[in-house]
Amino acid sequence: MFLSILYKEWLKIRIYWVIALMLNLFVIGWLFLGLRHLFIIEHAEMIWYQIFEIGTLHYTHVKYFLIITGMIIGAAQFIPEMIGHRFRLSLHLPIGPNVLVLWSALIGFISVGVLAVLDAVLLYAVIGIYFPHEAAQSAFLTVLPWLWAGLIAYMGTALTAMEPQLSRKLVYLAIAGGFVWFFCSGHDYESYNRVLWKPVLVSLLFIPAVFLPAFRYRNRSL
Amino acid sequence: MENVIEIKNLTHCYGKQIIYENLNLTVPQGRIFGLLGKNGAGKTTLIKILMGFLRPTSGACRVLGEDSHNLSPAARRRIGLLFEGHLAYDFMSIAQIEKFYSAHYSAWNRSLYFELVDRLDLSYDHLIKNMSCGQRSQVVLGLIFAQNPDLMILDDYSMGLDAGYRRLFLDYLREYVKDGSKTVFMTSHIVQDLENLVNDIFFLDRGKEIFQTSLDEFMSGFKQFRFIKNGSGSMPIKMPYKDDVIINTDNTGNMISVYSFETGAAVSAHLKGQGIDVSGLEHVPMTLEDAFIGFTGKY
Repeated sequence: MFLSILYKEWLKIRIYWVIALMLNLFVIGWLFLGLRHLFIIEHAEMIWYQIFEIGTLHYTHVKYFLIITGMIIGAAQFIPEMIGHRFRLSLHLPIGPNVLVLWSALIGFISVGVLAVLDAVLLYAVIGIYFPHEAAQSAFLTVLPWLWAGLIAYMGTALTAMEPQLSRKLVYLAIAGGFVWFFCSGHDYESYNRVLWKPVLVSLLFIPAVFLPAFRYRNRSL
Repeated sequence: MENVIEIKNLTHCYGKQIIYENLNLTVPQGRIFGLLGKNGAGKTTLIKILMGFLRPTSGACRVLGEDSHNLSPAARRRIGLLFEGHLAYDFMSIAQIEKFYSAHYSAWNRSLYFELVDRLDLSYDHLIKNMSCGQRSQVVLGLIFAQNPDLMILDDYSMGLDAGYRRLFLDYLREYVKDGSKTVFMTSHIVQDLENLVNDIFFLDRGKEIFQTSLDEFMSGFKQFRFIKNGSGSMPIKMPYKDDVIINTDNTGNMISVYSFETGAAVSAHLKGQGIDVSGLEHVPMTLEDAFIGFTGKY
């Protein structure tokens, strides 16, 4: 049953996921080329000064790609379900409605998560080519909240798409937007060190929150 | 015999508008039921309630012995549901949608599905979103037959189907119900299709009580009588009016039709009582469509 749901969700998102994969690889590739170029035209001590003394971030463009990816995957998964009330087709499947919605959301979450992990690992690897291990680790900790913001963007889009009532759609959008803004508002290295786990823990509530719009969809009176 | 569907005192409103009030309906196993009603009578709403997509204002609605709003996965597995407009996952192809649904139904009949969709003469990787309305409906009906459900709920199955496929579908439907264990609950805008198919009919009229009868009883009991409108001198022409005996009236040109469950003699006497000259009153044979219009009225 899970494989069948996975199959359906994959059919919906596969094109977008592959494009997102290419874009994320392109961004990391661009970062690699940028660093390579920097080391060719600049002296090593100048680069050290820019990055470790002034605190210039060389990978800020990573910040928004996973957020856009999350929003696109969420929309690709749930907007087709809502057009023409196709969600009824899914709710008629011989699966509990909560299980169905949770699995669908988890599949999308994991698909965005895979890209987030890929971004983090490749970023670590690219930074590790030119800088010591500590700098690569620092880059990893710096982008972690941005990548988490991508997953929140996915959950927020999924919730907003599934919700039948416009006013509640706006509320979900505002809450998700607030979290995304919060996780992206740091402009320094490792801005959220030591405190990141707290907002991450709170934002995990987005996962069980997917039951709400599904419940409300089934309990409409109009 | 077990009741597959049981509706007791069902009331549903859209805001202040009452759709049903204390609606009662039972559907025993092994029969084909046609739900008839004019546009906006609440047929699709009733199907949404039956399948748990709407919570009724009050009353009880049970399907396969379970509360329709909390159907278990096991019960849903036994129900083949055709949504209005032949709703489908249109991002899937002919082969993909079969692969997806077959994983959910243990009694899945793959060959029956392909037997029906092969008539489309399309490749299996043809996407549903690129099909015409009629082609899409053939795929959806193929899926429902392949599911081999105990109860089929078909909301306007005929939408978009040409006459040939409609006939083919009805042939398959007859085959499907012939062992007596399957039940069909259906609506259609093409009333004449139901004439040689359904065992029982329900007439749904917004805000009024449902009228449930067998097709045979209805067709033998409900009659149309016609007479020529006569006026004499300056006397105004009197028109019959609806009451317990006269279910409906219709006036086309100089012909007046009245519809009733009573005999010709009783209707004649009743109309005379209304002060109407009914000389030449004749009984007019009706098809199911004629009777449906006679019963519910034109717009």
